[in-house]
Order: sequence, then C-alpha cells, then structure tokens
Amino acid sequence: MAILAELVGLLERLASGDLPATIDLRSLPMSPQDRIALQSALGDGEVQATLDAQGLSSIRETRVPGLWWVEHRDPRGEIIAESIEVTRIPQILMSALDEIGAGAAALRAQIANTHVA
Amino acid sequence: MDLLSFARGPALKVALTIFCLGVVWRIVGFALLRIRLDRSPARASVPKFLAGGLLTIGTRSWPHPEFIARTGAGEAIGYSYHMGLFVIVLLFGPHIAFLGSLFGFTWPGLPSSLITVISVLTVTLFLAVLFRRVTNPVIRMLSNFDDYFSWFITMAVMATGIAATAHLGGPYQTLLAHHILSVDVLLVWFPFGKLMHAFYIFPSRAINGAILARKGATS
Amino acid sequence: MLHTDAHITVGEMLRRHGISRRGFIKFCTATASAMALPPEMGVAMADQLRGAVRPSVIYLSFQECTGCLESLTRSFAPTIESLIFNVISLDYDDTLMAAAGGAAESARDKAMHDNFGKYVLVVDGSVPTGAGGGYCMAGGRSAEDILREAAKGAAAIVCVGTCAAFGGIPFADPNPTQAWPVTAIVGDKPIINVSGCPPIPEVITGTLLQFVTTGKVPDLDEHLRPKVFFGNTIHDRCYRRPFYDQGKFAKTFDDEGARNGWCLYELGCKGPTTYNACATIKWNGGTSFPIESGHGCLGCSEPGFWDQGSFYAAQSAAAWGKAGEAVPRKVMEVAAAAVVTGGALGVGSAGVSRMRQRRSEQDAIDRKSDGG
Repeated sequence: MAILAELVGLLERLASGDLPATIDLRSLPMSPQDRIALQSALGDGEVQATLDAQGLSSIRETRVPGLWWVEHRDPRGEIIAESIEVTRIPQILMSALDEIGAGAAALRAQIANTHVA
Repeated sequence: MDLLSFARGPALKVALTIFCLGVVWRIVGFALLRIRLDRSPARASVPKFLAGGLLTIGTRSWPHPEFIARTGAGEAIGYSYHMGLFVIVLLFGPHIAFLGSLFGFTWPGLPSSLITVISVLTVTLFLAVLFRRVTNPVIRMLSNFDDYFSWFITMAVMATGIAATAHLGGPYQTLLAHHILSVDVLLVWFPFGKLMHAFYIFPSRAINGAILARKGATS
Repeated sequence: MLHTDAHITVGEMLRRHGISRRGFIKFCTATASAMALPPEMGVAMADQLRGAVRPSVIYLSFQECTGCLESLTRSFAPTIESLIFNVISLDYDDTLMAAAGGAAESARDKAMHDNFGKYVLVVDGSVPTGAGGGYCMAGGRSAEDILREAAKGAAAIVCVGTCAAFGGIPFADPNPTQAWPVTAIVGDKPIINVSGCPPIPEVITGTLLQFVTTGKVPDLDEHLRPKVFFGNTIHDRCYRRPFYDQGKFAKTFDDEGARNGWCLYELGCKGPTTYNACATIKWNGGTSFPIESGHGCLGCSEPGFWDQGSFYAAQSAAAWGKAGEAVPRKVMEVAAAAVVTGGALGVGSAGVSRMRQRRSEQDAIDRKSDGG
C-alpha cells in the first residue's frame, strides 16, 4: 500500500529529528476494504485516549510507535476528520497554557473557599 | 452570454430556421422543375409506372451482382456509417430528449456505452472514406469543396460529441458548446451542399424509375 | 454573539461558551480537511485564531429571502457550525442582532469606523437599482448606497448566495427591480463568491474561516468562487454516474428507474454543468443531497440558472425563450415562417430554372431545324 510506504518515510524522518507530519485519511480515495487493511496493518499500541469535546474523538497509538490514528466525531457521532499523525505525541492531547492558567486560578479560589468553610 | 447558452440558444434557433428554409427552398425548387415531355406512347399504365418508380428505390439500393466484386466494399462501408449515424442521432438518450422537446414525443434508446462503441466505429469508417477520397486519383480529381466540407462538418459533430460524452479535453460546458456549435454549422450548411441527398435520394430514384417504367424498361 | 466586548480574543470567547482548545482544534481540523488544506493547519489555525482578537464581520442583507442566513444558522450540529459565530465578531446582522432602528445602524457605523480596512463584509441578496434604489431601502438609504459605503473599509467582500454572487432570482428575466450582483456595484475590493441557493453551510463557514485565519483570498475560479468547493461539477462526483454511463435514465418521478436510483438526466438534472460541493459534502451534516433524494440538480450555484429553461427538461432539450413556454409551439412558429419563406424562394428558383429549361429546349429545337 502506497500510504504505508509514505508513513515509513515520515517515521524515519521523525526518528532523525525532523518535524512531525500528518496524513489526512479523508483526502485519500480509500474504500472500506482499504481502510480495514490499513487498520490491521498498523494494529493497536499501548495508548488509547478518548477526547470528549464537541463530540467524542479517539486518539490511539498504533502498534508502530510514533504513528497515531486520530478520529474526530461530532456530537451526532458522524466522523468529521480522520488522520494518521507521525509524531511523538499529538498536539491535541497537550493541555493549553491559557487553560492551565485559568484552571489554576479557579482551583486556588476553590481552595480558598474550603478553607473559609 | 456564455458560449453554451449562445450555442443552444440564438445560434440553434437561427440554424434550425435556415435549415427549414433552405430544405423547403431546394425541395420546392426541384419539385417544380419541368420533366421533359415524352411524346412516345406509354408502354405501361399509369399505376404500373408509378409502382415502377417506387420499386426502383428498392432496386437501386443494392448493387447489381455484376458490380458487387468491385463496389461491394464501398457500399458496405457507406451503409455501415449511415446506419451508425442514424443510431447515434436517433437512439442516444440525450438526443432523444432534444428531439422530443422539438416534436413533443420520445422513444426508447440504446445504452450509452453501446452508442459510444458505435460512434468510434463510425468515426473510423469516416476516416477510411476520406483516405479513399484522397488516395484514389479519380475520386480525388472529382472531389470539390462540398465533398470535403460536408465530410469535415459531419466528422466534427461526431468528434465533439464523443469528447463531450466522455468528458475528454476540457470542462464539460465547453465541450458541449463545441458540439452544439458544430451541429449549428451542419444545419446551416445542410441545404446548400451534397447533404441534401438525404431528401433527394428517394424522389430522384423514384422519378428515374417511373420514367424508365413508362418506357417499358425495368431497372 | 453580538456583544460590545469587541476586544476579547477568540479563545476567551470560546471559553465563555464552554469550548476548550481541544474542541476548537477539532473544528479547525475538520474545516481544514473539508477545504483540502494541509491537515497540520488544523492546530495552527486553532492556535492562531484563539490568540487573536475576533475579526469584525459586517453582514449586510439586501434583496434576499434570508435562506442563506438560515442555511448558516439552522445547521444540524449547531456546536460545530455556529462555532464560527464565536470566532468572528458579528458586529452587524439585521436578522440576528438584538438592537434595532437607530441603535443598530450606529452599532454598524461604529464597527465600520473602528475596524476600517480590516472588517470582512458579508453580503447576501442582490442590489436593486430600479426606481432610484427604492426597491430595497433600510434606514432611509438604498441598498446600493449602503453597499458602496460599507465596501470602502472592507478587507474583502464575501458574497453569500447566488443572489449576491450572480443576481439570483431577482436578476432573472424580466428583472423588474433592475437587480445586480455585488460585482456589478463594487470593483476595487477582493470579492469571493460563495454561490448556491442557498450555499452549503460548511462552504460558507470554511471560506470565512480560511479568510480570517490567513487574511488571503483562496484560489478562485472564473466566477470568483473558491475552487476547493466549486472546482468540480456535481456530475463529476455523482454516485449515480454509472447509470448515466450505461444510459439508464429515470423517465418520470417514482417510476421503476427512479426507484432503482437511476440517473435523473431526463428529469432535468443540471449536474453536468453545475459546479458545487453537494455530491461530496452534501447537506444537513452529510445526510443527503437533491439527487440522492430523487430530484435532479437545479444548477443553483451557476449564474442565470433561473433562465435556463425548465428545471424538469433534460439539459439537451432545446432551452429557448422564457422558461415555461411550450417549445413545440415555438418550433411550429419558426418552422412555419421558414417553410413559407423557403417555399416562396423555391417557387422563385423553380421559375427561373423553368425559364432556362424552356430556353434550352427551344435552342435545341432551333438547332435541329437549322441543322436539318
């Protein structure tokens, strides 16, 4: 499969210090059989994450380290985006700095409230 | 106005008008010609020589056995591409819809893929016919603008039609516009060249046959 | 949506609506995918927008039916499509805003003044110039006047819907209000036409999102429509194409062929000459599109589609004169005139030919009697 060859190339570049890359699976003409073949070729790895934001998304590392299968669904459950990320960790999993700051402020306020009580 | 709207709007209107006008002009002009008075006594009754006329249409549609060896191939090619043209024009879905919009009724057609095959075959026969016209010294000497242009415009209609259906060679609107424009040119040219044989061939054979039958000859 | 906190960032706005960075990345990734942009752009787009002050958008509605705005707001998965309203600062929209009358007009003027040269002007509806502009007036000013003024400070103009893009139904024959598309009124600003009657909501939001993120107009076709959505015809991507190729056409609605999902060419489908994303993105969150629901494409994203003859006549059926006028009668009129004229010419030609025939016969007789 051509896509596997492309993924291997990107992985090797990542291993030698190059930047992460993403392949949009919806931009490729893939039949249902192709998709199943690709899934079984890559398999499942150690990490499976579920993201619950504006619908559920699944972010899981495949058997191949550095290849993450990302599937986004909307609140109705329809797939709105699907890609394979060649990266150490998909950006979307990281917590946002501004949200960390806002969350810290809220937690501090919550601690202050419990102390007062 | 874009090319497609022009081709199937004003251009088609004008082309069809000129076509009707020209065809009627030529048929009336030919029908009202004098037939040289034959002062010899008729050797067949009126119904007989009228029937003879009609019969001639049939008999002249097939070569005499003596000539088949020499003319057979040409006749076969000629019949084949004429049949191809009829099938393409009259049995292709979108054409049936177009003619239906002109005449108010439609009829069943053939699968489009079959029409494509027949079109390619017809185009090949057309190329063979041109090849013969250009390489045979006698035919070449006899050929004039009418011969070449009539061939060219019919070929253009077929080639652009195949390109449009197969979506080959550009955006569909442009391909379709070229096809309809070439049909417009064909319609305008039709009454003024040899393509009029479509209307002349049967009356001409019938009249000749009737004249000969009156003289007691068969053909 | 239409708050006076025009200076908060997109990120802050999203947070107020309970949309996290991750949720917004999902939205941007899906939009980037739909627009065939590099998938990495999803995260980049999201982070860039989140840190930016919300771009100001002025939405002007002229001679329109409001279908385009309905398409945008009545989406099936509101949290996805209406996210655009968190990304942009919709500073004026006479249908959606709470203010009215003078308050609304001064809100618009203030937004245009504060963001001069930077706001995105979204227009739907055509602009009538008949009766001195009297067919469409708001606040005592004509549509043309309002448009010309708003265009001055716009970074770009997005014409939503076929009316704004090409004139649409008001522009159709006989165009009683002398309606014009935006491009006929404004010439010196970048214009993006998002045509369709109405356009697909994802096409509207995708185009807006791309412009506010990159500040650049996307690749446009010769009608100024984004090629990424309008680059292919419906026919190119239609799932019923195999039936077209095989010549299997439905003849009437709900006949055997129609029920088997055959091609709708003979029922008037204008798919082959219509450029839009209906066959791929589809409608109502990917539920279906007209052909899939059994009705031929109307060609609603093309210029002048209202005047192309019947929606139910096959594309190859003669498209003459006004829609709805019976073609056979017109054919008879043309044919009758042609036949009468041709006949007259024929009689004339025959007359000339007969004279020549008589003369040549007379010559032959004379020669015979001379020659003995």
